[in-house]
Amino acid sequence: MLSYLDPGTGSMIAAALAGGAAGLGVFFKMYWHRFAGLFSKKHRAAADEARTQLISDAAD
Amino acid sequence: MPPTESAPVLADPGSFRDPLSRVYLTEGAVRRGLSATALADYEAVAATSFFPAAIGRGDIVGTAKESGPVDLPGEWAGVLHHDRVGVLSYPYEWPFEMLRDAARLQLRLAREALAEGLLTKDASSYNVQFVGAKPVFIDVGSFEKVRPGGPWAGYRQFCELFLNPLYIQAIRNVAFQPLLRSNVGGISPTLADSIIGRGGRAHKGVFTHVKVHARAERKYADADREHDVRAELKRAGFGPALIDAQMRNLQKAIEALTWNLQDSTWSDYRTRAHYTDVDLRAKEAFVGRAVEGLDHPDLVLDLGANDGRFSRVAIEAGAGYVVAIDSDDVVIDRLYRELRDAGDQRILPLVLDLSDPSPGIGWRSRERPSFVDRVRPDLTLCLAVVHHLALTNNVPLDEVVEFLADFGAPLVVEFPHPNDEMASRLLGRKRSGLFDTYQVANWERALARRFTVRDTEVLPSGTRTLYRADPN
Repeated sequence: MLSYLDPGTGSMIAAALAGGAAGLGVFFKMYWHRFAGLFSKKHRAAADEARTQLISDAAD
Repeated sequence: MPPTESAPVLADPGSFRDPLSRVYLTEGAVRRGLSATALADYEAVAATSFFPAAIGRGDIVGTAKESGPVDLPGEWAGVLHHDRVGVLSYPYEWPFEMLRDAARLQLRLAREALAEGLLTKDASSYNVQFVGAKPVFIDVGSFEKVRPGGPWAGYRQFCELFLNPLYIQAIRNVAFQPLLRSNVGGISPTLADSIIGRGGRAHKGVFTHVKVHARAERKYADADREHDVRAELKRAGFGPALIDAQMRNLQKAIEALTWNLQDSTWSDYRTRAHYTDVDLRAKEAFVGRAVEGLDHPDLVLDLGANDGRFSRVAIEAGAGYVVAIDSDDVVIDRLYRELRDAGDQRILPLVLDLSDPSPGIGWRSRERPSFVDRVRPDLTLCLAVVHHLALTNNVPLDEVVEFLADFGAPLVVEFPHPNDEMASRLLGRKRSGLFDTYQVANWERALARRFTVRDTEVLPSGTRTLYRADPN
């Protein structure tokens, strides 16, 4: 379930940037997932699953 | 207290935004209905060590779970009882330092909660109130368990209602109060970016919290694209370590700000060069007697308080609490810092323009009630103000009296005669003949329509009269 305030993408990006090393880790992981997704079916499937999860969260 | 037919239980019109809990005001009590989810969150926060400690320090409003049956309207799983905060005030009535202290409290509590697996689901400056010069967090329903991988949902709100107002005032000397008053949601990253402009980059955090924030919002305004990136970010994981680092970053940004208090019209007023010592002492004695005559009035409203001199006189004479207002945010900022440093919790300093006091704002104009609706004093002080309303703001004397009568309380009011140094200076700027009605006799006639004068005193210099009056 999501909170009653909806954290927008823009805010999440600024938040990660403000989060110093931990935030860089998030960006690194995100781009790594994207990069790996170019070659690996498994990564693409995981990304799709994350997206589905997010959309169903939003529908709650 | 169970509801009775004579006192219907009304939901506070400002508490609807979070569907999981709602505040109800019954006579003498503030109660909060909790959904099952909110009740579980409350039980989690009540079991932490930071929460009772913060209540003990007075940082969070006194709160207890009611044991009786749930008797509030609506489907609530539990009810909390909160201590009352004397007089509610809103961020558009606070000077810079008050908003900064409120922001400090919000971040401190959010970080302490995070260390114990909880977080505030929002970050609104309306969740902080002031008891005198002490900020108090009132939204106990805001604490919830951290969601694994989730970001801090309150971050954008923190920027809109705390950080951006502080930024524009510190960097551009743009007063945040009119903007907060006209938009209950606060100052968006895009608006803050426009106000701050290119020059602001050097200030700590502006690049991330304003520039990148605004640009990323514009870039991801498209919903499909937004979902993709959000899914990827969530999958990459927003852990508590990141959120804590983000809050630390916000704390540093706030601490790094300085607002160069400029000399405002009134900042030198405290020297009161235009008053003789004899006049001041007579005025203090008059105010002191008026307060004593009411035998410990709970609430005194000091209109045009400036450095709080007569607010302090009222406290010394037995008043329980004083709301000290002035239209100048520089003098109120200074008064606040003095009171805070002295640990005062009996004088609440607020920025308010008497010729344009806070209206009701937000949803149905009821979410945040007007100043006059919120403040019901037992005594109103209106010293060295009437000539400004009448001569600077062109308010007719009858209307000035109507305004004072709106508070429904006994009154101490000072009327500077047309030959008073300050009044004649103001009159000198007007075309002759326009303000001929500014006369003691006209003032007394206007006053008598709504008040019964009990006591008067002409100050020793002979150019100002004080009145002690009761509403008719």
